[in-house]
Amino acid sequence: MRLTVMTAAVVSLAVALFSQPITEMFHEEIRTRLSRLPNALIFLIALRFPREIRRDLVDEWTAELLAVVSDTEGLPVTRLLAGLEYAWDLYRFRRADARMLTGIRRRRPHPGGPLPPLPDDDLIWGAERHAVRIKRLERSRATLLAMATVFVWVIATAGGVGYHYYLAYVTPPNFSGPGTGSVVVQIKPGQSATAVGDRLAALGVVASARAFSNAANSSPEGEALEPGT
Amino acid sequence: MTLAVARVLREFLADPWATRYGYDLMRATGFPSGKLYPLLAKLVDAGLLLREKEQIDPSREGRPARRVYRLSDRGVEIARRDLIALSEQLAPPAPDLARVLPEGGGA
Repeated sequence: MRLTVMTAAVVSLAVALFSQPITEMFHEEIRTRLSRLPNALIFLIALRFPREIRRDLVDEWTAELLAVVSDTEGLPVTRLLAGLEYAWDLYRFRRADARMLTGIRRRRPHPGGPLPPLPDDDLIWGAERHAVRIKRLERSRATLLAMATVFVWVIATAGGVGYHYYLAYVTPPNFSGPGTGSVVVQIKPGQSATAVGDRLAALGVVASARAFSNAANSSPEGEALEPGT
Repeated sequence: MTLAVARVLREFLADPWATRYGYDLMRATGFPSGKLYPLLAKLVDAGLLLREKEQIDPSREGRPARRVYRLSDRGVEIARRDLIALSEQLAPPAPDLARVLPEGGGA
């Protein structure tokens, strides 16, 4: 029983002693993080731009942000609002604006072109980033190749199938030999060879209408197919 | 030339050879950052403004180098000419005295 009382006393003393400093630490942490919010916002907005432009813009805006909040020492809320107002509005800055402002055009290597050389401006991360870029480029190159292959395959297949049907249309099945028996077919005046062919095909004289019109066209009397029976 | 561009150029022409900061121009023109920077970008792209890194030693000054803008020689010329043309266009017409003064009101 005495031990429990002792423990409670020690714990309450510790809470009384440390609660305030700990709370203050949290407050300070929150305050610092809040004061950095405009910088974070600037960085987020700059993420929309290509990397070679981004660094320049972040440099300019961060330096300007310091000037924006320079006369608000001791006014944390005013400082935060002024910084946020400056940073937030930069959202209206477009990619085209960024290119015009910095004069840096997009340098995206073409997948078919040579691989870019290792950059020498960024010693620590340069090689790593370069490896990532090469890998990405190789991947896009593979994609390009795969797409080209599929395209050629589709075209080839479509051509093959089309040619097959074309052949079947131009030189259709026909019976060989002179044939036997006789059928009476009436050809009306003005009826085309194709129409006659259809009739003959229906009666089983020729294998298909197209075969008849082919035969009519190739025979010298084809033009002079006369009406009658 | 839009009025906003004219406003920025006017600010530069006040002292054609001075260098200006972005925030400085925001305060002078009253434009928010998202409006001012695209205008500066267009002027830089057109060759009227030059954008440079401020020549300071950041470790000695205790702050990063800012970007400064100033008019190019061509910029001074074009800005002056275009602002004059614009102000002539926008000058209000001379008042029609016969309509302003009532009939026989000339005393």
